[in-house]
Amino acid sequence: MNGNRMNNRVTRLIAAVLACGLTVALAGCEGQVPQAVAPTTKDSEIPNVTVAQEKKIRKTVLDLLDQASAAKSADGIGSRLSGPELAVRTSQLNIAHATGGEIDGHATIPDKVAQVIIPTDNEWPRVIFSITTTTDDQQSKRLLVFRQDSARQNYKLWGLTRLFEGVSLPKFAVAHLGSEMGDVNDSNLVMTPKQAVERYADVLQNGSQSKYASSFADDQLRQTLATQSQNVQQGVAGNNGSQQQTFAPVDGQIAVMRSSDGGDLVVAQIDSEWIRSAGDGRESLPASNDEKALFGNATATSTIKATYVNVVAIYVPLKDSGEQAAAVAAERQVIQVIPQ
Amino acid sequence: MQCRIVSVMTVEEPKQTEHKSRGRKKAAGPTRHARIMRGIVTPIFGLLAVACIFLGVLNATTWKPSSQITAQAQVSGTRYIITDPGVLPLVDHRVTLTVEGGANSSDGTCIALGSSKDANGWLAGHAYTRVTGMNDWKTLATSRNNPRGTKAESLDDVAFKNSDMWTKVTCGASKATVTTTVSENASTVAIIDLGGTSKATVRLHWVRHKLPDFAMPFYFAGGLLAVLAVFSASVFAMPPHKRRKRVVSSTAQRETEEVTISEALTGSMASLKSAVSYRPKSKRRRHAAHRAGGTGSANAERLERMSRNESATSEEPIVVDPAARNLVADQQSGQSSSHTAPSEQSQSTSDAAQSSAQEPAAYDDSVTSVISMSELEAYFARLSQEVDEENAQSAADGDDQHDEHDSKPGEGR
Repeated sequence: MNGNRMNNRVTRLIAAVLACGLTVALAGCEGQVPQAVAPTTKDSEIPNVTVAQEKKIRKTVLDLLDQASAAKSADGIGSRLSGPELAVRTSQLNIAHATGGEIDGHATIPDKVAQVIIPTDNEWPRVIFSITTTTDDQQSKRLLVFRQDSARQNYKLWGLTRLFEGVSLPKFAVAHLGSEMGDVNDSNLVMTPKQAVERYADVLQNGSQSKYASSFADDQLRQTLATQSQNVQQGVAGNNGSQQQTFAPVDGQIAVMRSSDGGDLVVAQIDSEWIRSAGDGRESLPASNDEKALFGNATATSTIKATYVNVVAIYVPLKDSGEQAAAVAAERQVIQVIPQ
Repeated sequence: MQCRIVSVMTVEEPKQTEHKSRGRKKAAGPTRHARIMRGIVTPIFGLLAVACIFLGVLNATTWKPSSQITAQAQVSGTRYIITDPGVLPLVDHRVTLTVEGGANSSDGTCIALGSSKDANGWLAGHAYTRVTGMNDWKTLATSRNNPRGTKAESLDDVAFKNSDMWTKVTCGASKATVTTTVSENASTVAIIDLGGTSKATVRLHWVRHKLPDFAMPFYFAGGLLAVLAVFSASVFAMPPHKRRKRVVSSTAQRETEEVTISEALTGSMASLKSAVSYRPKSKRRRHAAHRAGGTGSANAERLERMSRNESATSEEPIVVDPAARNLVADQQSGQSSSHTAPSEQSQSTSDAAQSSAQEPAAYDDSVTSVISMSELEAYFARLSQEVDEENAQSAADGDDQHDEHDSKPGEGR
């Protein structure tokens, strides 16, 4: 009987040891293989670039522009410039080259930024709005628009506008949280962004006679243009000439960013053609130094056509806010002057 | 007094062993049970405990999980390889990704880190291979994906390493390595451009900081088994009634409050015994045959009442065992009349006897078949006598009080 008990005990002991050993073997010496878990934050909530990336992009662009300004040559700036700013900067560089002087002071871009507005949209094209500080010579802040047309391209400086004096921009979310890009047909505003650009072009063209004149608050660009037009009109009227400036928005060259107030900040290109005819057999000559530089050695005729690129930034408020749309920044540069 | 209690105990003991023989599966007798517990169960537990500790030590030393994890996979057929979000921090936050076998030209093979949506945007219209996780600790799981969306091609396209979207880019000739720290919930992915060729080895290397602890459960189990072994050798090996007896007999401080404590204890034990259905029914019937629907609680009430009466006057036995025929009490029953005569104790005794006589009157079956009321009364009277004697003896050594007691007749012992 004792022998049986001994056998029984030994058998049970062996079984217990085997059980322990098998558990170890089943568990594996390394433990369970971990499984990849998808992140909980959605892609559409992640800013497209980090603040550091934006700084790097801006620095690359500014370095390139500095080089071009130093060389007074527009060669190669197409790698980091696009849209209206490409046209504007090319013109400025050509003018600098033609006059032999420095590039226009309006072209200065400060190194530091006051605010960066980065969207979280997944699709392309993507834009970044960067607002610089004031320049060293106390010029106003610049609103830069960088645009990436597709995933395989890089961000390029698409638009540069100079803020009007005394304007306040709408509020945007901080850069590391990200904002949202708007659509040209956003309908919750006093007018869609596309309509805003078209109507503003009409206001620029017709001044106070425009039927949309009351839709937009008065701004510096309108005042400047009105004064300019008046002066030229006086000069032209003196010799029985005429002048006409037509403004037309450029299709597809528009960037919309939704502010946290609900309104949209719209930056768009409006081209304008200024045709001035001198009467009485006189020649129509370039009206400014820039025009003169671009006109160059061309033979003047009685009619001259100057093509301008205007980049305007308009804040379009919410439908029920009771506010007017208002332009907050603009840039205007002649890009071509040819005799007609 | 002592022998009285002893007689009670001896009367009860045979009943206990009988209970054991009826209640236990093992054969009656504590010796056999202890032998089994000590001889078989304890060694088994002890050996298991040793085995568990030994396995625990093994798991902490030679079988310790390794902290260096390297998993790799062969990829072929696509120019681009991308990791799923969550794969880079799979084992640890810090990861080293190496790719070998890409284009041999300078900067031909590139690894870039970027967000998942940016990398997927780059891959629009191109076939690519996804690294989805680990099949086991040495192999990565991959899956081939067909092109999605349309290719975005223009003259302004930039090279892979020049894209603004990546947070980090490293390139090399046919081999590239990047080390980075990725937090667990980030959507950071690695995208690899093999240049022209489409066959490569992708390797991910982590150094684990959180190792699984397989030793602790074994240590814990070993400790539990050791405790069980100790218990089965000591406490569990003891027969239950012996354990209970120890509790009862250990409160044997009888010198000063002898009667009250012991009687209270025996009374409560008696009530417990009758309350717990440990005793077979026949025993209960015999013990409380005069109580028709009476339960242990009724018995306890009665005993409580008796003890209350007792504490006010003189002591009264609470344990009543009518089954034990007390020859001494039989002897005394003839002299019960003389005891009811003068002293306070006798009066109180008669009071007690009366109260006890009254108690049974509260029940339907007031008289037991085994013992008569006169016998009970005699028993009580004699007991109170003895108690007084002993009290007097212990209280005053040179007292003359005991003469009074000595003069009482009927004290044959």
